[in-house]
Amino acid sequence: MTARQELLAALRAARESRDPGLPEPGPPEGAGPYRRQLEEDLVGHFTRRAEELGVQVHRIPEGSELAAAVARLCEGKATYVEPALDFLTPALRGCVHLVGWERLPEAQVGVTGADYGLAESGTLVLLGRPARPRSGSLLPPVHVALLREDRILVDLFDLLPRLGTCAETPSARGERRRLEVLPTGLVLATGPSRSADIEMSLAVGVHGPGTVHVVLVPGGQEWPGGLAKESSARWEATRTGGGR
Amino acid sequence: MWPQGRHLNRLAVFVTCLVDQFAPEVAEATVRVLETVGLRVEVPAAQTCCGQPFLNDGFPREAAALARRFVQIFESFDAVVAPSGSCVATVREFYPRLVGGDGWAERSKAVAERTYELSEFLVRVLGLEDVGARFPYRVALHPSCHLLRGLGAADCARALLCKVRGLQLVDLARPEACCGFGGVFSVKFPEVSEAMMQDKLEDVRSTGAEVLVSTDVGCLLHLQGGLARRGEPVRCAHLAEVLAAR
Amino acid sequence: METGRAQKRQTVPAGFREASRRAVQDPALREAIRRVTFNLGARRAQVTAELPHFDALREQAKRIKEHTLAHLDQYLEQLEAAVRSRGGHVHWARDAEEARRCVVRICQEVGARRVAKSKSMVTEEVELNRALVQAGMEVVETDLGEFVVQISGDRPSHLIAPIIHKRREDVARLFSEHLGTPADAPVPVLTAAARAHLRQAFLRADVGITGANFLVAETGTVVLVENEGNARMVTSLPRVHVAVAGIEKVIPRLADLAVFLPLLVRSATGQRLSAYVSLLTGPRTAGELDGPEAFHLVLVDNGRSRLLQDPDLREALQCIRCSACLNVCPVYERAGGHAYGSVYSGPIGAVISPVLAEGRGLVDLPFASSLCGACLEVCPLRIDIPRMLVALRARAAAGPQARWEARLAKLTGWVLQHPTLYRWGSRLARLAEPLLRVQGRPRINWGPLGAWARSRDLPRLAPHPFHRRVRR
Repeated sequence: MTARQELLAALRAARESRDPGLPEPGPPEGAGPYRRQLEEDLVGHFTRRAEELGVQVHRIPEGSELAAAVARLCEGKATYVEPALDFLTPALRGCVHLVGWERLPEAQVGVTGADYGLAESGTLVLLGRPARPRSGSLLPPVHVALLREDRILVDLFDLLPRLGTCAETPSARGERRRLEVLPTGLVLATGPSRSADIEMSLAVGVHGPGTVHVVLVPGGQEWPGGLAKESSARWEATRTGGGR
Repeated sequence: MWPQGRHLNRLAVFVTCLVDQFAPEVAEATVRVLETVGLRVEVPAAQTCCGQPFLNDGFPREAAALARRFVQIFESFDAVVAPSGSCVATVREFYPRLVGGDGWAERSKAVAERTYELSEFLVRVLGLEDVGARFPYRVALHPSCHLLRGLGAADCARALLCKVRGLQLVDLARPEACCGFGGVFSVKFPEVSEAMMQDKLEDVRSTGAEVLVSTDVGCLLHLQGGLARRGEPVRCAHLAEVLAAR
Repeated sequence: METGRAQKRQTVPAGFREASRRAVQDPALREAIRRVTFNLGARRAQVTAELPHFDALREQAKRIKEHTLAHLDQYLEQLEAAVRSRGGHVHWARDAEEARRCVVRICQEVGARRVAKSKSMVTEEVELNRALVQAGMEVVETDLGEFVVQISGDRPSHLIAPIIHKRREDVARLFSEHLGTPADAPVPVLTAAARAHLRQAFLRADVGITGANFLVAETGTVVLVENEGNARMVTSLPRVHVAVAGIEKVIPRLADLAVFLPLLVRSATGQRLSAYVSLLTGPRTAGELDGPEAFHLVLVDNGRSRLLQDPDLREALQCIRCSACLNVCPVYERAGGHAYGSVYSGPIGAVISPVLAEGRGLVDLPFASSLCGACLEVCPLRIDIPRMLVALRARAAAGPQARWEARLAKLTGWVLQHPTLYRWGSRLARLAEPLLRVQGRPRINWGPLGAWARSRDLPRLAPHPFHRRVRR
């Protein structure tokens, strides 16, 4: 017998008839008031909880100011901008020192989008893909994340049902939910990188970025050639069964 | 807590083996307190030990024999009260699984439902907090781990002490910390046991308490032994003795 | 000769007594442990109180785990299929030796020379690093605490905070030797030095090795919970990712993470979420610029199936390794993690180590507890550790080394079952008392009496036991 066969056989022998059954997914009943309170002010809670962790949150009144806001945060440092935000590079080129992917290890700032935010924990959700490489938000010591306000969800109970495989049909999840294909690398980023290993003394920026800025853009606005369009392209591919 | 429709005709006291051997005054005080609140109690002569030390030291067979004995002796009573959180916790948590088949599990569950530690009986079953006691001293309460976590009744002991006339209750900094007794643990790993005891006694000392009160004689013998060795004047008393004091 | 000695080690109550005795005499160690455990414990209490539905989450999690363990083989098969459908490879290791050989083989097959590791208790358990080094690979631990453990040749002493037993001065001295930092440097300088040094390791590594906090059967996803970013590094930069995980790490659905992640992180560090939670599913797809080109999952049994088959102990497999129990345990607080002689210390360690490391003389661990129940109280899965410790004690007591104790227990038990014998025994004890005890001290200073009397006066038997007093 192979290791696999032997192992599975040992486990099968231990199967118990006593099985409480798998509970339905979703928040437990008592979570109602707590989650509703978060829902009433998603942007406010997200901002406060992110700021508690040392994240700097900047709200800009409209999308047209985005480039200027980003340029300010880059402060003339070597900056990597992920492909998904290519629409910003023309505006940035004059005032920001841009470096390409091959020179990412030298970049001081990484500018990426964030697909979602979680209000409960002040978390950024980054779905990795060709236009959003994982390292962009990881290697540089400063991470600038652009997040649309209407993409802020309550918590993981909101986020996880949206992640599926292309085998599932949209109708099974309800037409109102945007379905995201589960990427190879999804990161929930909550605050800067940190460690308290040495005598419980907090050290920030251990391997990942020590400084995190979140630029909140008002929702419902189509970013020129940006996020919303890209996401709908993925949605279409999923519905027709294309893509992976 | 009180089974529906049940009348309290016959009330038994389980004194526990440690009380019987080392602190019989605690049994006397327990009886006196229950009589003071108008109950008639019986102390079945056949009782000895609930079996907890055997269970905790890895001898479930001996513990089971004593558990069955306990069930046999006490099942004819409407309620059983014991001045010990750990014994009652053993009866409630372990007896049904311990006693084996042939109907023993059901019988032990029935007894377990009617077995109470003294403070939880007074407060939760009888609804009493003031038993007319007087004990004019500065008192620190050490809720034993079984009382605190096993029975969830530390608040009962506190409530009773708060109503004792003249008693000044002072709070320990870490009341929930284990005193380090743990039965055989105290002699199998005496260094760690001692370290836990010293921390508890330091806590008591820092409150300026004159008397240390607990609901378990095991904890008290261990802490009292440490106080005597340290030459400290703090006295130890069981909750029953305080409640019986006039 | 070797077997004789090994057997002797087993018959004598072994390491924990001696190790804990030394530990309680070390005030610096106690201070260091308390600093961490009190801190983490307080934060846990605060952040779990924030959720009014925390207990409901615990119940949900327990039901999910009970169900999963009841069908563990099926969920592992589902996991394997999901991983393979995304282009990953799955390997099965029955024991530590197989796990080591498997990982070494994977590294050799891809021609790896340099390995970067993020924190993984199971790789410590199977002693993977030693095997990789022996196979000629350069291994770098990238978690800050584990990096310190590695360069100091030490062992971790806590489930999630590996160097709580070390002071800043110790780390400063180490870094000064190994990384050239100034003597007695402050924490920010030490951290910056580690960051720069380990950044090179990330960029040059051929293989990244991680553990897994959870494995999602539905999607074949590996979940990594961390604060530093090194797990993200070793799973984004090197061309191969190897995840090593115990078989009990599997959970059924992605949606279940919404229950388990808050429970784990809030119980472990008192955060709402750790700085980074990575959900990794398969190797990189076409067009992606980073991520591994190949992904391997190594599933490790190493005694876990034995726990599963044991009705008394299988509950221990519900553990999500949060370490909340360590942080409230009065014994761990004073003895420290090394005293347990095992990778898994504290209350959960006292249950699983004797089983996972069967035959390594850890039979005394279940006795090293006052059964205070603080662990059960804080465990997010409400694992009844005291119950399991008592069950393990019964097995140890049935063994050869406890023969005299068993005889004594049988005798005392028998006496207690017969009131007449009990009363006579009671009288006899009072006659014998002056022979054994004088002025609060025992006349013979060994055995249980001696152990008690090290720090406590012996209690006196009451002149008349209650059963001899007049009853009203």
